[in-house]
Amino acid sequence: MPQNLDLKEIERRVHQSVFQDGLMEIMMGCFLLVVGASLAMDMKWVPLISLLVIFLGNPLLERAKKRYIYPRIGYVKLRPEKEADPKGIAVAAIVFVVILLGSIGIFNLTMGKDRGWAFWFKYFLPGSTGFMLAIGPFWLGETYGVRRGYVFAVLFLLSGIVIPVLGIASGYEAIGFECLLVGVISLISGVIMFTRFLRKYPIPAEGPPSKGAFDDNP
Amino acid sequence: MTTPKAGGRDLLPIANIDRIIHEPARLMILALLYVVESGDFTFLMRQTGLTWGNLSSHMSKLEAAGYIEVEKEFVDKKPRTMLRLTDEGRAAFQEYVQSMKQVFDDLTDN
Repeated sequence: MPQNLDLKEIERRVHQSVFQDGLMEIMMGCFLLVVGASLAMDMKWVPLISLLVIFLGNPLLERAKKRYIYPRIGYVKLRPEKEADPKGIAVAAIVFVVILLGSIGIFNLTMGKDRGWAFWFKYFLPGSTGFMLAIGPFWLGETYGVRRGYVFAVLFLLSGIVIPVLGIASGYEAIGFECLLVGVISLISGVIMFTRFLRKYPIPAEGPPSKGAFDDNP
Repeated sequence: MTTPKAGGRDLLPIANIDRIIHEPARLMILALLYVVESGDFTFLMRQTGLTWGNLSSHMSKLEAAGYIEVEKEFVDKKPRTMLRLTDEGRAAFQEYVQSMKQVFDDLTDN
């Protein structure tokens, strides 16, 4: 019924359909596993891996979507205002680094130089990194109604606190463990979702009409 | 021309409902295209549950009315037909939604 035409709900469902294939989780899982392993073993590979992911991640994801997703559920361009603002992301990253570095001074002043630094490195660094990593999935949940984004946000937040508090690891190593833990969960859930997606949406047998109205109206 | 009335109530909003839009399949298509920038044929077929033939037929009517436009683009040398709402289609859809709200508000007031 038209009075029940909920455009917000339709929009939410469209967004959810775009993110239902699990490819994003697979990509995120792979990235986190590689970064996590690098952090846990040798820090020097992290910048290189991050750059590789930035430059190769999106083209790889798009290639996979072209091959497996678009033939099954079609292609949709979402409205531009829903896309992430690169300037906003850059500003947020700068603010985060300023807070992170500023907090060293605050801990040093309040707890003394050695204790302040130790506390910052052991607990604050993994916790705040967990917070930063949680922003992306949380944004996904808020903007596109993808609820599992909230689950990943909580996982990042909790692992950032729990891993150093339980003494499993601290500092960079704890961040590495955070990435490994969330990466494994993300990869497994992504593979399950992708398998389900392929089963649920076979490639339609029919193609668009070759001699249809659209060929007459280019 | 006299304004249609029933029980003293103005029925003009019902008489003015856009019949092109007031068909469930076409309403679904327009509602979907209203919330996105554009979508291809397969996307609309999946989202609406219509068959290719059915969808094509409704698309022709919407295109003839000037409510949607068709863009052909090539991705990796393969053709892709993208469909989007025209400004006219967007305005007509908004007007339709307003008209229907008014109709239902008027009817439920009794």
